[in-house]
Amino acid sequence: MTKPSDDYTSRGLLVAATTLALLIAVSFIPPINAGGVKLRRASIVSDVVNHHEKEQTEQELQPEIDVKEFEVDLESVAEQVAKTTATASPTGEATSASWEGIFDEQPTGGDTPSRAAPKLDMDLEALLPDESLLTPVEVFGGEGNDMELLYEKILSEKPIRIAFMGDSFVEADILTADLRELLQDTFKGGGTGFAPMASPFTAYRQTVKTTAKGWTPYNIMQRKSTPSPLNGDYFVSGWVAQGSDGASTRWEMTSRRRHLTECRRARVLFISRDDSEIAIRVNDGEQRTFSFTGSEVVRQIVIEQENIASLEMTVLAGGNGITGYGADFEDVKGVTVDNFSIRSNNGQAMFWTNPAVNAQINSMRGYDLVILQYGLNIMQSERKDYSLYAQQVEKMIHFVKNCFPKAAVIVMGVSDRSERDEEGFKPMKVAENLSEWQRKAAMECNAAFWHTYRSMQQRGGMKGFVANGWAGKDYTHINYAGGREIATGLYHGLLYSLQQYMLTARQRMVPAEPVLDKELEILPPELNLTDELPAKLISTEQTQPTQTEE
Amino acid sequence: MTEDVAQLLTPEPSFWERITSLLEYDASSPLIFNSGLFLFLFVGFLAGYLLLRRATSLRIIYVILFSIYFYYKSSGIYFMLLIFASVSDFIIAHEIARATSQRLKKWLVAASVAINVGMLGYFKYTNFLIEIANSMFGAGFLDFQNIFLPVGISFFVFQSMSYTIDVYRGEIRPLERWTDYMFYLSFFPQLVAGPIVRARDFIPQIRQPLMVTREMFGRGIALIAIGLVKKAIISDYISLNFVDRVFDAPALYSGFECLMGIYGYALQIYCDFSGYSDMAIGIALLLGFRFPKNFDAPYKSATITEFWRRWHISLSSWLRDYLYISLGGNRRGRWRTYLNLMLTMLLGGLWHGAALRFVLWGALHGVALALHKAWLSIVPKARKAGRDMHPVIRLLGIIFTFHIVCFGWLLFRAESMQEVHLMLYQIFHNFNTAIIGQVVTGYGVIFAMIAAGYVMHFMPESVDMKLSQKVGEAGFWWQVALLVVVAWCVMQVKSSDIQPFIYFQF
Repeated sequence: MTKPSDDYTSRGLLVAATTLALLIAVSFIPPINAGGVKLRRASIVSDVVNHHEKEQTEQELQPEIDVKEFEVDLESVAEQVAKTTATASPTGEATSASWEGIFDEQPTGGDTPSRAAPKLDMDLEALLPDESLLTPVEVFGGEGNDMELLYEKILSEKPIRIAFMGDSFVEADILTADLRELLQDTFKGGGTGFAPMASPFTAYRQTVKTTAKGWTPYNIMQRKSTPSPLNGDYFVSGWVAQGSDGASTRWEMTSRRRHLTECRRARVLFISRDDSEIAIRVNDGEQRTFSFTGSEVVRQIVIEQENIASLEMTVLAGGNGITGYGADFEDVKGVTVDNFSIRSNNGQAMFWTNPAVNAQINSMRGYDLVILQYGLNIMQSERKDYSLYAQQVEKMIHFVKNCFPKAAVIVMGVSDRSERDEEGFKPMKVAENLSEWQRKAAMECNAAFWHTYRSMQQRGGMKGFVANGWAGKDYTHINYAGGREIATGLYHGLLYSLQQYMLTARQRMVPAEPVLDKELEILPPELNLTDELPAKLISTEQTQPTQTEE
Repeated sequence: MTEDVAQLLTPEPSFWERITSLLEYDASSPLIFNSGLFLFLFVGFLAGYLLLRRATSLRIIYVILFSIYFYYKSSGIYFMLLIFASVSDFIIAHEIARATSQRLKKWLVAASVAINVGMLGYFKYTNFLIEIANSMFGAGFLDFQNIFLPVGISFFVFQSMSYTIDVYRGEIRPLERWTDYMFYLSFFPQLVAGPIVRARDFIPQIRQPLMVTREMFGRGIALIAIGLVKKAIISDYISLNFVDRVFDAPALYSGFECLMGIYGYALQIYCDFSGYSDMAIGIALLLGFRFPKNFDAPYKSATITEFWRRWHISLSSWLRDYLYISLGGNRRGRWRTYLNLMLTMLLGGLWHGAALRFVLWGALHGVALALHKAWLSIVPKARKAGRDMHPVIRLLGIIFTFHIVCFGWLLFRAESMQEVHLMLYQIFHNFNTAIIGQVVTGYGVIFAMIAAGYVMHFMPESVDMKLSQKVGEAGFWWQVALLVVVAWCVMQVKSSDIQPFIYFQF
């Protein structure tokens, strides 16, 4: 028989009720910040009671960046680039070797346009989404700005090369894989773009299979521990690889996205400080050997052949003097997107690259657009002022314009990222502030801007991305599926902006004098103005004559 | 713009609207023991439960109604399924007891098994079978069905089968009242996540006078506190801030981090599963019911056979008694025994979820168990469990078994074979010893938590018992303080900042 003192049956209720009462009381203790230890409000009633938390003041915050890291002398950059462009002859014997295979139709052998005039009647309407999913690319600068020049090239069917410079967010070709595919679907082209010679992360990239042996790779974020002279060789790709005799890299095309299985032009990029011999093998078949005399300039071996499905480069001699960059794979026309991702980079890494190297590679490749995707690592949940960082973004734009003079620049706003409080995951509100500062920097420099955060919000925000399996549980990094979403948003933003450009360009073609119906008929039939122009615009144009008559 | 305006125009829900929406069916927020809402409801429930202390039949109905609400909160109308299962097996059990011919008994028990397995199969495995058919006959061969998976169906279906099979085997007599059976099947502490309580363990307790002794109370409070720490502090924190990320993108991490990811997952799944079980057992104790032990420090096992006597005991013993023995157990020769083990573990794997990775996990354990059985018959000195071994052999056995189990967890957790391959590749080719120090300091809190979890796990059992006893003997306010402190820690962890992503590869 149990003693009455051993009967704890009703104690459960007493303990549970008292615990509950105390926890309700604890819910009203505000967050405490004592001696660096941050204690949150522990609220058992947060589902039904709104605690309005006081925001931290800006004074308590860490500075957003270490400005020293962003130091760059833009004048000296311009000088170096000018010197390089004046002296180097990118296609000359000294720097370039080529392998021309058999083509059904000869490649254009450069950037000669296949059409003289831009095709302003391209119908993009069917490709655009519903307004609720549209975040346009905002273009700053007046008539003839860089984006307009880019659109003109696109509509003239010139080859378009895009350098996408970002941080870990796009590592392994995340986002760019899909941006490339969508753009190639619409504007033709093929190939995976740039692939580094060797890096510890090549295994993760799905859009090209890289097997590298005998190289020692270095990353630009470790520039201080990179041995000389490699530490002065960095290109915006962020990786250099120290060669050795027998070092080799094999790149194999994959079918993980459309237009990637074969390409028609490949270009291997490297520096050969000593005399060297390099062997190239295409599609595991014929091998050719190229000899180089030692020099500080960037060398290229261009392979033009139909159906390049794999490419192998082997250093036969002079390996110690080789700095390997990588290879790029493209079609002879259409769009190429290069993914240049550097972990934990806020954009400063470009200032540590060698402007002369950038300029030389640009003279071989010719970038038409540079997209800058940075900022994720500097966001702080309470900081609203990012003016200091905005100044650095302006410097980045100038730097890019110096090294890649023909390229338009799009600054991507910072992406969404979630933070957590007692009610669960919420978007980091300050992403809106940082985006605004980035936008301002783009505007100051007549570059373009795309609001990544807004586009992500249209697709459910980071919380929705994680719930859909599009992003990792750090609520910061997306995966391939998430990359596809954002790439689609950016692609649509670009198409919309292109469509706006076509409208403007067609308007510009219309004579400044009042337009009469009869005159409209003289215009080429594909310029069906009345269909495309906003109703308001057309009506003002038509009412003007009557006003002059008065 | 329009969205902002719309937000301004929609008034914030009132206090009462929030409460109603909180109490309504919501598949995305089931009523779990470590939620604030459960504590509110439990206090209210306990008051009624005590009021009906002496009115046994009424109390039973009261508990059934609360359990049905508990089920409704996460599965909506599908609580009808629970009622259906209880009615059908209640009737079948009676018919089995009444049947005079062995043949009829067999048919009846087969009908019960068919109904239960049919229910489980339809709700849990239809789309899996369609997927297999499509991969054999081409995509689009069959269309995927939109089938809701009722919460806990795998648990109550197994409980219900244990009842009809035991009646068939003559081990228990059928219950007189349907309400008693419904009470057993729907009892909310174990309803959605186990343990799988056997009818023969539970039924004798139903109509006993309600009595919670000091020992039961102390054990109950201790188990709830331990369960909360395991589930809502250790498991939730390390999974969100470390383990999930590594498994999401192994190539972003060094081999060392991948290995820690697997060790972390081994702890996470143990803490998650056993912690929730602890809370269920603890809550049942406060209500006057004793459930058998469900986890017994499984990573202390020195052999795989021992592991399965310590891991999810209510499931492994269910599988042994109702599946392995029904297949013939070890009575039909050595090869048949191995086959039976293999089949039991394959199905046991499939029970965890409708995906190939669970089948692979089951297969690994089936092979390991069969190999161990063979080893026992070949090596006369070999022992089944660690306590009969020399301490050094035992330690080696524990390390070896732990790694076999961890490899199993890798198969269990990874979404694809590519991911398994990538994790192993990183561990064996990119281990990167140079960064170990950095990783450990960078993820300080997480590694401390993982270490603490394993230390707790390897404590002798007597420590656990001592703790329960102390909690039972402690004064009222100490007991309250224990729960408040643990709950406060849980809430701090729940709202803590997400550990930022750290790169160590440079």
